[in-house]
This record gives sequence, C-alpha cells and structure tokens, in this order.
Amino acid sequence: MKFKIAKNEIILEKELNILDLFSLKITEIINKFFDYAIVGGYVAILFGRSRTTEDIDIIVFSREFSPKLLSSFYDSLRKEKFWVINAITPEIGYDYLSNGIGIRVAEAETVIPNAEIKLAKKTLDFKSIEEKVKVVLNNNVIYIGGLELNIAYKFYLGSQKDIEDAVHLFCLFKEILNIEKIVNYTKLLGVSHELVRRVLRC
Amino acid sequence: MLILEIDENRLEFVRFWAKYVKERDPAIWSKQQKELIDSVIKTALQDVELYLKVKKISKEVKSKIKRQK
Repeated sequence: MKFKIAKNEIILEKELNILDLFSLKITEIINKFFDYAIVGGYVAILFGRSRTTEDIDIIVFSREFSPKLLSSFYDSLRKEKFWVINAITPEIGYDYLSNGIGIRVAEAETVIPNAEIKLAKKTLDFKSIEEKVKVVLNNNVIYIGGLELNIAYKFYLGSQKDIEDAVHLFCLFKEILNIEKIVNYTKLLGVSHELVRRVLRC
Repeated sequence: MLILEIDENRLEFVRFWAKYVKERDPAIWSKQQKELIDSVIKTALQDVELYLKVKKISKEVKSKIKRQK
C-alpha cells in the first residue's frame, strides 16, 4: 500500500486535480461552520478511481444550525468567491437544508464542479460524520465519511458506477476495513447479500 | 434483477486498476488521473439552468428506477 494509513487517518501525497483543489477550498470554509464528512463518488476518485464527477457530496452538521449561522456561511462563501447555484439567498438555503434538500456550491461564474451540501437528518448521515476518517492530502486535512458505510451505501445506490466505486474502495482498503460492519450496513440498507458476496472481492 | 445488470468485465477492470493504484506511487497514477479529470471539467458546459434541469430529471429517473426495484 502506497498510502500511509494509521487508525482513522490516511496520508496521501498526489498530484492534485481540479476536484481535489475544489474539495480542499470548499471544506476549508465548511469546516468553520459545520462538522462535515465527504461521501459518495469523490471518495473513490480521491483514491485513484479512473473516472470524474461533477459534484462532491458533503454531509454537514451543526448543533447551532440556524438562519444566522447559514447567513454567516453564505457571507464566507461570497468572500471566498463561491456562490450557491440553486439557492441564491441564505433564506432559501436554510429552507432547503431544513427540508433535506441539498444546496449546491460552486466557484463564482461556474457550475461544475460543485459541492452538494446536505444537512445530516437520518441516522446513517450522523454515522458518516461520527465515523469520519481524517485524510491528510498534501499536508491539508479533509474528512471523508466512514469507508464501510460509504461502500455499503454505494451498493444501496446500485448503479454500475456506484458498485464500481464500492469495489475500488474495497480493493484499496480491504486490509483495514471492518467487513462485519459492511455486512451490517448493507443489511440495514436492504441490499442483497448475494450481490455483495459475489461482487465484493479483489 | 440488479445482479444480471452488472457488467462483470468493467468490474474486472476496476479490480485491476485498484491493484495498480495500490501498488504504485500516487505520483504515477495521480498524474494520469489529473489529465482525465481536468480535461473533462475544463470543457464542461457551465450553464446553471441546464445543469439544474438535468439534475432534476436525473433525480426523478433514479427514484423511479429505485421504486421499480
């Protein structure tokens, strides 16, 4: 394994692509207001999957979540030349997040890439944040959701691309993954055990 | 049903690629990855209305497929 892995910490030095640079910039702002975890396809891409994506999925949580907090978050985004493409004002953004709808943040005058930010609502959203893994990427810190849940959730989503992401992550990290946890999460999500057993191998 | 839809050949490539990534210095694969990702994003259409419309349709299709399963 060429990544350095310690308990709940992965150290990765790589040539940064546009998505990596975007994720570092946006999480630096998010981190000032929320607890967060990056989930979804970008996690597999971060660790070398040979595909791209338009958006980076991020789950956020704050005990102080309020219109005021979101307004400050929007101010920070604006200051750093970002905009929320589907919820221009903090009032709309607050309404979206409170109702389980993601807000999409991109750099000014662009749409792609963007970060789809969702407020943790369901038990598994909170689990993603609770089990987050620290990634030291070229000396910058970002947090990704727990790998086992990420893999299980990819099976739940179930498209070819999602299953491929799950297999990629599994093959990279199988030595440190808690297999029982993956099985339990897939059961919880109602994923066919036969599918997981058949596909999740290297 | 879903199992029949999975392209095993593609999965084999993913396993091969994961092994490649795992066994090599990230400087090697990340350079190749950067070329792929940067070229796609640099040429992406930056049209917000179209993008949001496509996302909405895609979400509707996905949830329809999920319901059918």
